[in-house]
Amino acid sequence: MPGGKGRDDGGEAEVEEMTFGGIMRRLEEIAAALEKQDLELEEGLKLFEEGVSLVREARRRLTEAGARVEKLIGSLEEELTTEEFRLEEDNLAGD
Amino acid sequence: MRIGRRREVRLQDEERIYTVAEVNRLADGLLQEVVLWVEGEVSNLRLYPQYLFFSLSEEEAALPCVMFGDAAREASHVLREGMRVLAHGRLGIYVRRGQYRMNVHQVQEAGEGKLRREFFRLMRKLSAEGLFDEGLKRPLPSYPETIGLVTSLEGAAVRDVIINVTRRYPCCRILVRGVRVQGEEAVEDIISAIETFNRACPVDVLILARGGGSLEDLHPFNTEEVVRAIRGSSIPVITGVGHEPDLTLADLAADHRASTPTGAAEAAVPSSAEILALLRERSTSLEALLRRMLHLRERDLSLLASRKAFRDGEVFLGQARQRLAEGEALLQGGMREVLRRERERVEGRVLVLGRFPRQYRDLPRRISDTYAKMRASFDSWWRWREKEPGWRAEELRSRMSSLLSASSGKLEVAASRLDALSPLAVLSRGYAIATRRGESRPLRDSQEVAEGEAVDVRLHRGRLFCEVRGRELRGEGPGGESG
Repeated sequence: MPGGKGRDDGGEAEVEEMTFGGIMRRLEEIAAALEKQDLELEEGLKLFEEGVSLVREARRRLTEAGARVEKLIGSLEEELTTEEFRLEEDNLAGD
Repeated sequence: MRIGRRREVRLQDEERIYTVAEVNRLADGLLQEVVLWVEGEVSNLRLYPQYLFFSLSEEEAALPCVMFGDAAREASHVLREGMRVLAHGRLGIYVRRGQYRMNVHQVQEAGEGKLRREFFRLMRKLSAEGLFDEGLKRPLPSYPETIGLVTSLEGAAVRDVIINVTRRYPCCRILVRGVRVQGEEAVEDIISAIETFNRACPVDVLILARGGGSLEDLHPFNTEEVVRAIRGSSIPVITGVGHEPDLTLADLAADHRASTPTGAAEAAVPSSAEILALLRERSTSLEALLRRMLHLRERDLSLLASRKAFRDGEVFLGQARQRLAEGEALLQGGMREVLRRERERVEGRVLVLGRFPRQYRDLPRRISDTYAKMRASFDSWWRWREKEPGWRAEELRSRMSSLLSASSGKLEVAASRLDALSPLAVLSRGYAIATRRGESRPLRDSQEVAEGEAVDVRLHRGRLFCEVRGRELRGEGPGGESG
């Protein structure tokens, strides 16, 4: 895509901050906006670029990340903390 | 005391002969050490005001039981012939008859029958309160970031949920809160876990899971306390308790009921395979939408340009040409008019020296105004356009400049032609205008003046004050002098 590098980088940094649900919602918004006929060309190109980077980020999260599993320990009255939870270590036995 | 373990009782005096009563009391004393729960079917039930008798039977064996006092009165309302019960009591011997029996303190209906009755009673009650209403069910988040899991840290349920959530939707976080899922303390653990998540760890969705089991095993999930905790949670709750046919009150209260822990995981998170397919579709449609938009813009451009002339260079040039043509028409029209008036003047009907007809007097200024406006709008259009990348800037600039210089050249020519048409300019070509002194009407016929009369002659520069010395009288020529 043509366009300044600065804007691209800025866009991606923002995308990384978004929640997955936020990314999917924004994609819907962009598609809806692009469907409108009164959109300025420049605005349309900007939305398209944003959409492409959102799709890229969503794909990355689904393919690269692994779920983080933690155990919630402590109590409301005292202190609540979390620690990593590994299935292998804890129990493999059936119910 | 463990049943089946042989225990030897050493008597103080082995030589001594005991009475029957002593033996029975001895046996009674030994048996009284045994306090236990026993399950069996009620038979031979006999009720008395202060006590009651029954037998607990099971296939070939029977255990005589007795109950006294308040416990007996309470039990008399519950116990029925053939009912399966759990009895708690102390073994002993009725000394007078030497009869072995169990002194029962507490009795309750045993097994599924009782639990099932309790289940339906509570279900009716909570249902009447509206706790299971469909209207209370909250929608589950489409893309949860964090999932709270309330289950035992041991067993298959925790594995099933974690493995399935991770496999389906790897971009989330799972927070597990270990609880007991069976026995007395399970209810308290589950309630506390739901409360902890609600108050301190606002996850997007909660999964309450447990492997399958008997009705009794699942009992904590059938308690009023757990039902109320689920309904009181502000985080949506998914239950995955037991196996397919198991239904608990917790399931009825939950926002979504899955039949197994694996089902709960599937309900909690979307499948990444499906999302990836959706994303493929989405990026294809983004491209299609952009293409369509570009196409539409292209098509609209000419329409748009006619309204907003300065969006497009071609249209601007066309407009400039049109203005120029208007200017030229104005010039030509003006010149024709000037010419006509001038002819009249020279013919002697009107002579107002140095004056153009009013509407054409400011013609040169109007034309140069037009030119200046063209220049200004070109400049502003140019500033606007310069910011556009990829615009055919140089080409347009040179076309514009040549158009403008052509138009300014035409203006110069027009201005000189206007000068030439001025009545004063006629004089500069060597013509003169004669008037009777004190009059402004030009003389056209020598008979109009007499000899000796004073006549003024206006030249290109200056005037002559003359006296008529003689006249040559001639008939009117075909416009000879008026040229």
